[in-house]
Amino acid sequence: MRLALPYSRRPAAGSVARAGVLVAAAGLACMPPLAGGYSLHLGLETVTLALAAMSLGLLVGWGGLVSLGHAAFWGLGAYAAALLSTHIGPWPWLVLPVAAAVAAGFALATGIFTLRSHGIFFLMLTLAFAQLAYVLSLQWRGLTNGDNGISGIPGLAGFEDHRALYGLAIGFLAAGYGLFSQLVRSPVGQVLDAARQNEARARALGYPVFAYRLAVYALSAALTGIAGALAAHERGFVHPRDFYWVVSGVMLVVVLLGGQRALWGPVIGASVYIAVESWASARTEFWNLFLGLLLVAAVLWGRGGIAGVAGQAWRAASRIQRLALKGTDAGAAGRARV
Amino acid sequence: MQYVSALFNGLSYGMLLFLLGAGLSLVFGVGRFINLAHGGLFIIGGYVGFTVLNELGNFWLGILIGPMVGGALGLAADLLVLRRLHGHGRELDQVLVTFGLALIIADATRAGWGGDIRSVGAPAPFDRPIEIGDFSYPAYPLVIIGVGLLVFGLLWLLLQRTRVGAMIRAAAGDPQMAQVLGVPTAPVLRLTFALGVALAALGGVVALPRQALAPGRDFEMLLLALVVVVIGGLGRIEGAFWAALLVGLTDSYGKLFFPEFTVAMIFGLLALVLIWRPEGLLGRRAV
Repeated sequence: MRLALPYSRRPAAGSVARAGVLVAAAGLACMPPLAGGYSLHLGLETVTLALAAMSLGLLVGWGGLVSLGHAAFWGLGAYAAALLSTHIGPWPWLVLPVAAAVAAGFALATGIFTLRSHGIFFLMLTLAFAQLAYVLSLQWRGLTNGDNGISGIPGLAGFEDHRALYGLAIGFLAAGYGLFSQLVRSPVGQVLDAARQNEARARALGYPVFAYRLAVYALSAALTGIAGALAAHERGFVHPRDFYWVVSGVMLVVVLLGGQRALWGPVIGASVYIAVESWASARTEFWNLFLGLLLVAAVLWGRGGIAGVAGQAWRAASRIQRLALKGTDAGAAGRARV
Repeated sequence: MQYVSALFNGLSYGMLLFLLGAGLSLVFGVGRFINLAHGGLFIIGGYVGFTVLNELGNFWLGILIGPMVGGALGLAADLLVLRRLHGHGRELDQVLVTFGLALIIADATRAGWGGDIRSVGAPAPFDRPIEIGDFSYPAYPLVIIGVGLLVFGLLWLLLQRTRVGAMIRAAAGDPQMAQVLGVPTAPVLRLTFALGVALAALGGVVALPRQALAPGRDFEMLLLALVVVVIGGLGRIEGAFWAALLVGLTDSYGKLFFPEFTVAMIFGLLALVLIWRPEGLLGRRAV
């Protein structure tokens, strides 16, 4: 019997299966948006939100760092894209790295302070810094054009067709997934996870917990910034609303909907969120009311999110399958999926 | 003279923030969670006060009824939802549920009272300015300052001089130990929560003649209350009081000198305090 080491490498079969699910889901998701029009718009909104929420989910699920300030990184990425595209040029090799760098820079500068705190304190500090960015975006009119926002953002060069932009966004989402799934298996990710469970012990073992957290925080911010930049090019305008704390809240909701400990969960969470939002906001102007009810219900009854519920269904199905094949492979029953 | 006006403006705004922050801080102290629907209770108080004034024609009745409605809603929320989320390691769930409640309140009040800006004049004896020589200043902000000081005094008496207050302090200090010693922590938390949101609702009514009601005000006030509570130190009423005055004065003098960057100054103040004292001005070391 193998010792159940909490940080041991998981059997590869599970991650292959998950990657398969992801590819299949992405393939399915591609089909309606390629038809163009409104569904393409929804598809892009979904993929950019999923990318941002996946970056946040990495922090929440593995770092235990519940940030309510990711709107800052999203907004910084969006505004960086808007300003560069309108003043210099909409070249992807310029816009996307700068958007990522600005967001990561803000994360490094604020993370030095916020990451010294824990739990609810961390949440409020990230919220406070994000709100500072929001207020500056409203009041620094010379740069941001204040409450009018910046409109007429040209399409990303080479990706003016939103179908191409959609492909690019899917590419970033897949790359982010690949990067993060490697990261959580890497020593950095495992130290992060260990520190989430018992920080004192991780520190006592000599791991540079703070430095790792800061690095992962900046990485998460960079990808959120790219997501914001892609969304800015898709929408063609940015507004201080992109910095507003409800954006951070929505990202957390998406993480929760998808399941906190599933990297691909936010993809499903974002799909559900955008689908429900477009459905409900077309029918009522009080869509936030339903979002609130959905949120309360998800917390009360949906532990583990959609990914958790899907996982339970999957396990139940495979248990039934195993019962059906009982006796054919005695070893299979021992391979309990935990 | 404008400096004196700014002083009173800052103090009265600070007292409003104290009414909000005191409740938030109390709930955090006992329940260890942040109620993101706190701003929602503030505007519910405001809308209830507005309706009472319109229907019954009496502002002071609103000051009585607003907090009662707020407290009742708080009790209901705790019994129906929040009760199931008490305990360690559920902070994220609590944050998300109260965020959900905040969204529900925001849209429910918009559905109930519409999205228009609602404003109210100051009530009868305080509706004209006080004049001392050639200096004149509206009387109503002084009422807000009075209410704030009164609430601060009563809260202090409640917490330090009564049996219930001792229970609240015990539950805040060490919930498990308090329970072992016979303090009914769940009812104490429920009571504290109801008291805290009633204070927020009171703030909403009291603020009516100074601040127009409009959608979005709930989130704005919530953020300022969070700032106050974090600066003062979570779970500390005195901390909330001094921090509220500090934020109120920063706001009023900021408006005088740097009108463009007032809100940024408040958040800058927050960042400075946190760099200097991460646990807040009067806070104890993080739990």
